[in-house]
Amino acid sequence: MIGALVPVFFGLLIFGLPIFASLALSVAAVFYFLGGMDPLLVPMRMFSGMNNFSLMSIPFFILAAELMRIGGLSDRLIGLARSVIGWLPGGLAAAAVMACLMFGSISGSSPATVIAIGSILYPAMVNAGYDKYFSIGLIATAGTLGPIVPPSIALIIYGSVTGTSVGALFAAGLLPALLVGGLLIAYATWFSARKGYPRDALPTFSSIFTALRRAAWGLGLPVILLGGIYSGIFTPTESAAAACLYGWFVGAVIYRTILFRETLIVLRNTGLISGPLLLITAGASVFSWLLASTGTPTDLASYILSTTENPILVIAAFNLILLVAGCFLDSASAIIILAPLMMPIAQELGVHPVHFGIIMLLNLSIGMLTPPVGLNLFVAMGVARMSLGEVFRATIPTMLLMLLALICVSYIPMISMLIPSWLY
Amino acid sequence: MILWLNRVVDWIENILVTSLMLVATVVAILQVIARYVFNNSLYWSEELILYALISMSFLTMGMGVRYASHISVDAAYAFAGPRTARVLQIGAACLGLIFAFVLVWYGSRLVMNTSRMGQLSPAMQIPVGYIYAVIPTAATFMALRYLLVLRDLVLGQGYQAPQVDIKTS
Repeated sequence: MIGALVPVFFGLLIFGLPIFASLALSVAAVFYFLGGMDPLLVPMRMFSGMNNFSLMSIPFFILAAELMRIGGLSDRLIGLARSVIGWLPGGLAAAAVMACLMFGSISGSSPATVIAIGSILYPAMVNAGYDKYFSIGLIATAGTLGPIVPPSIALIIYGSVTGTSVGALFAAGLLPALLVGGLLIAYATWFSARKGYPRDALPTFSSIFTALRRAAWGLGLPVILLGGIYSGIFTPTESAAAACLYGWFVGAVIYRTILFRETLIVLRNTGLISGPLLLITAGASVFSWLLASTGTPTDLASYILSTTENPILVIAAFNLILLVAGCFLDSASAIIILAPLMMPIAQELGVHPVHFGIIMLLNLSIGMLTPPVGLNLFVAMGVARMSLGEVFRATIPTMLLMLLALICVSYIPMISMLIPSWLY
Repeated sequence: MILWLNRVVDWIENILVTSLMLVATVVAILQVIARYVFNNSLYWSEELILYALISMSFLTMGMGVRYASHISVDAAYAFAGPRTARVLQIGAACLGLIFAFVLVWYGSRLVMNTSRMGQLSPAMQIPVGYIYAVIPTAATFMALRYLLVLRDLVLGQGYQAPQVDIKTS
């Protein structure tokens, strides 16, 4: 059955059917033509795949970030980032990375971060004389910080599939995000110094304070989100809902940019962003359920563990599989299909489930930068008005840095596990 | 006819998706307030949020086609010439129609089976069959969307998704 399922799925996918539909339709086709099970199970499993309360935090996290974005948050965060590290060589480039780090603490999505920061900073960088390929490559890669910095949609999905604590996963993402961000800032500074790009004047205490005050309302959001989760007051879904209320309050009352009509538009757009994402979890869970019911996870585990029990080799193999999967699948479906196959094996070999979640996330973040399905590339194409090939070539140097970060995070568990071990 | 029906569906989907998002968000906020301010958990809130957001997601099946916001692989279109690309796109739209039909057919059977067994939801005690009804309904809307895409492709003009008015500040 699995021998037929995978080729049918890829056939539908290459034709251009949406990923969620390809996943569900391939299972329905296998049931219909090979018999054995009623295709009626497909809509039923799609429904039950979404019927999980911790997944429902996803639309709320997206809504909170959209509310903040429309309230002019990106501008304020960029202003703050620029006043803090704009004095470095290529200050604008370093500030772009730092702004992505900060926006990531509000948004859990990679393409959303590229739009929020890139649509403002890409034109600014090009006007300031930066190379346009360098600029878009850096921003498209820095956008992957969105889901690595907590909150993270991909980690919510990983947590709900594997039964791992979402709070611990969020905490585990923090140091890897700083590692990636640090590497990107170092690269941007080195590249800019070599090219002699402009830098801002050294900041004064008062200029940083002014920028901080302008961004303060925005930076209050991660305080509520993470403070609520780690003090144990809120579940992740509740803290996301509280963040929506806060975001709406800031937009409607403080900044007065979100009125009645804007509220409705934001709600509709949030539906249009998060609905297709939840549908992917629905389609992928049908697919994953069929794999599980035919015993694929245990077969795969015994096959791999009989080949080698060396964790270094197994993690390297998983990294390769995930990098290839990341080319063809988005993060959500890759996690739902592959986490139940890989996580038990990794755990057997002594890799903590939280650590493995971060390894998967970093792999799939690189997958956001690889065609044919690389969502950050698609968004960056729109921001920079370039072709897919141009944007992809532009991201290669920074993608190599991501690979370096991936190797570090894979083999140094401390980077992921240090903060969760303090908190839990 | 197809154009007119799609305009009606545009309107229905917009209103439903917006109001389901609104209901889910307001209830989620009320749940937090009830628990921490009034120390009183709402027994129905989690289920209502789940069903509202699941229905919302199914309704975006059609909207995602209309606004071209579903994630898909369109690499083959880029490599093929314009005529082959059109044939592939027509093929993809037909596959989409088949998928919609599968969901309408088996979704309706699911609704009927569940209603016959009289299964009720755990907290709110609503018949689960009513909730499953969103699947064939939303799939019908999706079929209409794919018919619209197919019409534009066959007329040779290529489907253009309307721009979503996201204010980028």
